Amino acid sequence: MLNEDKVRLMSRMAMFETCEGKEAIKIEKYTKKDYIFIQVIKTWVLSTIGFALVFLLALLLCIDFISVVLSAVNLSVILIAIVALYAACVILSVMYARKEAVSRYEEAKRLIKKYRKYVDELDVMYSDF
Amino acid sequence: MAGLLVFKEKFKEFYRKNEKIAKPIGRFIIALLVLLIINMRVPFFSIINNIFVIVAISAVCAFLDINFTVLFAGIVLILNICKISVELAVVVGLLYVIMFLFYFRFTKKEAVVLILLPIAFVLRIPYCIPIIMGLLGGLVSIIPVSFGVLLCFITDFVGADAVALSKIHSLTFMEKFQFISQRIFAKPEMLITMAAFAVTIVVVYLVRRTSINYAWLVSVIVGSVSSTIVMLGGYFVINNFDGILMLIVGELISCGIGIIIQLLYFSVDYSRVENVQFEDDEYYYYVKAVPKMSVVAPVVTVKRFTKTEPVKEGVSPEEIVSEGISEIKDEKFLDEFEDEFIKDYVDKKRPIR
Repeated sequence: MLNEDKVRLMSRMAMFETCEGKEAIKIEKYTKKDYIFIQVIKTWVLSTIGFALVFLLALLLCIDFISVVLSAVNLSVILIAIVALYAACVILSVMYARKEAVSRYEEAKRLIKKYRKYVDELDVMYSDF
Repeated sequence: MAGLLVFKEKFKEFYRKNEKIAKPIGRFIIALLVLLIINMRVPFFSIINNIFVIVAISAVCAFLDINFTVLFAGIVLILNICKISVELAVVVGLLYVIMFLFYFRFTKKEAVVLILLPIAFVLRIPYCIPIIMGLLGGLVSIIPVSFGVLLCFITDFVGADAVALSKIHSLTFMEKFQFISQRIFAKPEMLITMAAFAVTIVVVYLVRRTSINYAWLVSVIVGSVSSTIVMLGGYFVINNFDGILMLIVGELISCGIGIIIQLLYFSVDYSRVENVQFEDDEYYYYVKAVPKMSVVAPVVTVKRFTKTEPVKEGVSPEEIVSEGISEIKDEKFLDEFEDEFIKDYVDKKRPIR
């Protein structure tokens, strides 16, 4: 005979696994430190690529301005300025990515806690049966 | 205002019941509009701009996430620009990739601004987008809005100056990019629009976060005013007074749209504000609690009454009731009764005894 409560609970669990819990279940496999580290590394690589593309775009579109600057300023100063800009870009991206990763991990933890309550409830139902 | 809230509840109920159909239809309409706008502005790639291809792409977008519509719109735009100038297509492609790498990776939802802005520009109400982003987003919404403005102006430029662009084949590699840089990125109207939108977002965001009464409503009005002032100031500086009337009309309509959005998303009742104070071991708390307004869509239920008739002799109560019920099945009688009931008890709010 159908146990309605069990069916209701399992439907809720299935909905959780397909919708809001999908991302949370993936994140939960990592520890907080590892997850943040992965996001930071990903952001560092993508920011480096993004910075290179911005540099390329600036080179293509502002060649007049760049040639004036190159003729007026020492090359080592320009290189230091580029490295400083790159560092600033990476640091800002990484800080933002870290903040996002922490909030996403906390949210995933909260959702998984809710999911675990469902699992415990289901476990009790099975043991009663 | 109550009517608007009731409409919101009814719409939510309707959407909940018909989500499986409504969502794809909505996405299809948005994708179709955006692709038609791109086709209208830059109709250079004949294969892509065939109406059947556009409808097919829109049909595909209907069943995918809205960000795929942004992606397909970008690809269609770049392919069209490619036909006129490969260099400009490279620039637009690089801009898309940069925006994705630095911004849309973190805030995927805000990519929808890139497809709403062209639609708003065609409808002459682009000023509603920064107001909406200031209400529903944050200060970083300045980035996708500015990028959207840039793309819209690039599209306009390619559409208007396609002849000039196609003639740059004779220039050297670097001269082509200089031409693009001077004609597009140094356009004063674009910079004025970007500045106005950025100011609007900042003003709307900062004002709506204050604790004054009607903060959201005030933020919409102040945002519209500041946007108008910056745009008019910019037009005055570049000595271009074409389209001032359209600007003012557009700002008024955008302000109206902003007011409707704030009513739908932030409906609170300031007449029942409660100011409380309490403390714990660490802090004193000064709390202003503003209750939300919630309205339940009225469900009209019709009470069954039989028509008054002289009691027939020798007829059982069950027969009288079944007669009454068969009378009530008369639709016309039901409609008339419903109208009377609503007039007496819902509109006039008479107590039901």
